[in-house]
Amino acid sequence: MSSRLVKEYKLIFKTLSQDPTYSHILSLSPSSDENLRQWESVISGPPETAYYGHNFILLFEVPSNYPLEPPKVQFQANAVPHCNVDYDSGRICLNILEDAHWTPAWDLLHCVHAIWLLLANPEPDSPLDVDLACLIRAKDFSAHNTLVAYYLNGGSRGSK
Amino acid sequence: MSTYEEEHGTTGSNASDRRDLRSQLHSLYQENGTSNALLQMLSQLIPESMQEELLEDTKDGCPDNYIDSLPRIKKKDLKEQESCSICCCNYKDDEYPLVVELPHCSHRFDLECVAVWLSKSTTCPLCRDDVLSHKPKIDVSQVEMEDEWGMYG
Repeated sequence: MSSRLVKEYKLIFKTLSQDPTYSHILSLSPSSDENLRQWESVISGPPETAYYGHNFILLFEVPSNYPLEPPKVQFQANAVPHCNVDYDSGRICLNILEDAHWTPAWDLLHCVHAIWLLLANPEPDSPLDVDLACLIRAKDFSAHNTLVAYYLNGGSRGSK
Repeated sequence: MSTYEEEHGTTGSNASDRRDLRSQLHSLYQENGTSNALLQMLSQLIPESMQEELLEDTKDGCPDNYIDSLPRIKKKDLKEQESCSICCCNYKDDEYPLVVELPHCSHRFDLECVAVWLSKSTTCPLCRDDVLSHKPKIDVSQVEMEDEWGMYG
């Protein structure tokens, strides 16, 4: 099914250069010309969030039986403070990326877009960062946003 | 006195096999009405084509005969730019497209693509409609066991 990846590659290039709906996706392409199984994407932080003004790198690993199985995708490690992201590894908790919720009708562009939406819409009920999730549950958004901004600007997460 | 086998011209060995099976079933039913062994033996009485349907209920995806039974779409009914959302290929790029439509949600896919998906899932890739939920299931638990085993007579 790697012909599907080639098709996606061409389609993504066209979509990103023409469709303003995806202007927050700054790039999405294979990491190198030799290997279509590893992709990289850069997205900009959604407006009106603590992430605005920062760019984020996503790393894709596409399994050989894609699109029957979802791509493995994570943020760059130690870069994204978010209640559904494991800061140290960059791992993302998002149901459509799990085998049980994936469908082969989705593509890499859908995944990037869904992750961008997750940045703006944290889901505190399945957290990977408990501290940030607690602040959202307590509806203390100013504390949450301040903490996110602090980490994004190089603030220390303390020793573990 | 002529036996059933003589009257109906069936072979004797087959009939005695059946009689063994019948007596085994009887004793099993008295021991344990819900045992798996009983169900397995019962399923031997059912034609092979139906056996598959009953036994394959346990795996994750759809039974093969369900996938084989999906309605094909004629080439002339395909639109010019219509493409399979699994492989992203235009149907008409293929000289002989083999396209099927899922019942109820009417979403179309290449048979080759959707067959692999449906062998491990029961949902439509586009709308998550559970394709098997619309199919009447054969409910084995409600079948009554008749004393006389009239199905042989």
